[in-house]
Amino acid sequence: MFSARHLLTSLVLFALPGLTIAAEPPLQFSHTPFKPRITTPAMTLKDMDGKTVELARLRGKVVIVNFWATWCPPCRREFPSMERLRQKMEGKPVVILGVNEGETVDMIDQFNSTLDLQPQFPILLDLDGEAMRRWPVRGLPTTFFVDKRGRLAHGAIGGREFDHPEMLRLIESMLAEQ
Amino acid sequence: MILHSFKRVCLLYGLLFTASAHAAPVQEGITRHSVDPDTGIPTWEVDTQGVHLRLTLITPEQARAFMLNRGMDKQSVDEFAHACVYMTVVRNEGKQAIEHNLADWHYLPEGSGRPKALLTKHDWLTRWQPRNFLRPVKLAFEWSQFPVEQTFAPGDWNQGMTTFALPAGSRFDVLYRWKQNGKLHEGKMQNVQCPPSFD
Repeated sequence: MFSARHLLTSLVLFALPGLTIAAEPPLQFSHTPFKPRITTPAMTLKDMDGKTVELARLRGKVVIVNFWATWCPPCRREFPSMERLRQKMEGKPVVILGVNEGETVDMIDQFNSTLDLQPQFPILLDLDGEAMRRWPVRGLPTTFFVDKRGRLAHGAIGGREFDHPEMLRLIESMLAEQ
Repeated sequence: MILHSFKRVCLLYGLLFTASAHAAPVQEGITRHSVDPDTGIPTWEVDTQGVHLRLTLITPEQARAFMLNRGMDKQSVDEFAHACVYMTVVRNEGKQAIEHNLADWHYLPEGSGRPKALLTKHDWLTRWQPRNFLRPVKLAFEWSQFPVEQTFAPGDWNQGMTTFALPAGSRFDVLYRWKQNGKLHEGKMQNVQCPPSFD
């Protein structure tokens, strides 16, 4: 009974995001520029299909790197907006990378199955947290906007509404950069 | 039976996180306290100079459930659940960046004039070091706790657990501090309460 009760509590605590939304503060759309812009730390990780993704190979594109985990409530809240952003940016040189911290493919699949909108962007597995430690991350979620030259251009700490018009404006302005 | 428990806990959790929706209007520096009428789960909120702090009690059962299901051993889980644990949100609603360091925070137990330091994730991990947690267990614990140090630009916010080493039922004030342009600022959240029991 102990295990079943605690399993149930945990499932409810961390697997029913809809219940958490009512009283949570609204997701933000602010972002903070890096001055000066600095080259991103290297990142090479496998995605959920076992395919290797190397950030350096994405030069020439605007890349949104989101560090997250399924047990992190604001991560869960902002996640659907990343897929909506991907859809709005379809056909443009914009890539979204969801870097999951320390969880298995099964755990991520379980979370994804609760979403109305399945993420079609790559989810990378940072199983030992090493990638996150090389980036300026102090808490989850943290998101970085990487410019076409592979530099950290903007950052955002905490949950965001990624398809908010302000976010779209930021990405469009980064796309227009030389 | 299981379904009944599931529904009950669903209700508990839903109400837990809607408790603050019924909070009183914001008054600078005044702690707002709300208790969900059905579950008894309390939330405290305070706004000081554009910095918002919110603490919602995580019951010992919820703390145990989270840690057990991240793979932590029962002894460590029990130790953690015997502290007063809160889901903590800090939000920078001001116009300038703030530097947060949990080492600057303190709490004052009721009837005590001596401020005490919070238990940080580093304190817990140092205590548990001989247990050699698997990397995913350590990672989940570490990143579910409120960050020790962080810079919050305007609009930035974060959420994580904070822990206070006090007996069940204790009351205390939280002195939360941040730096802005190198100057230390302080806010006070008053009369926070630990769970009545750690069982």
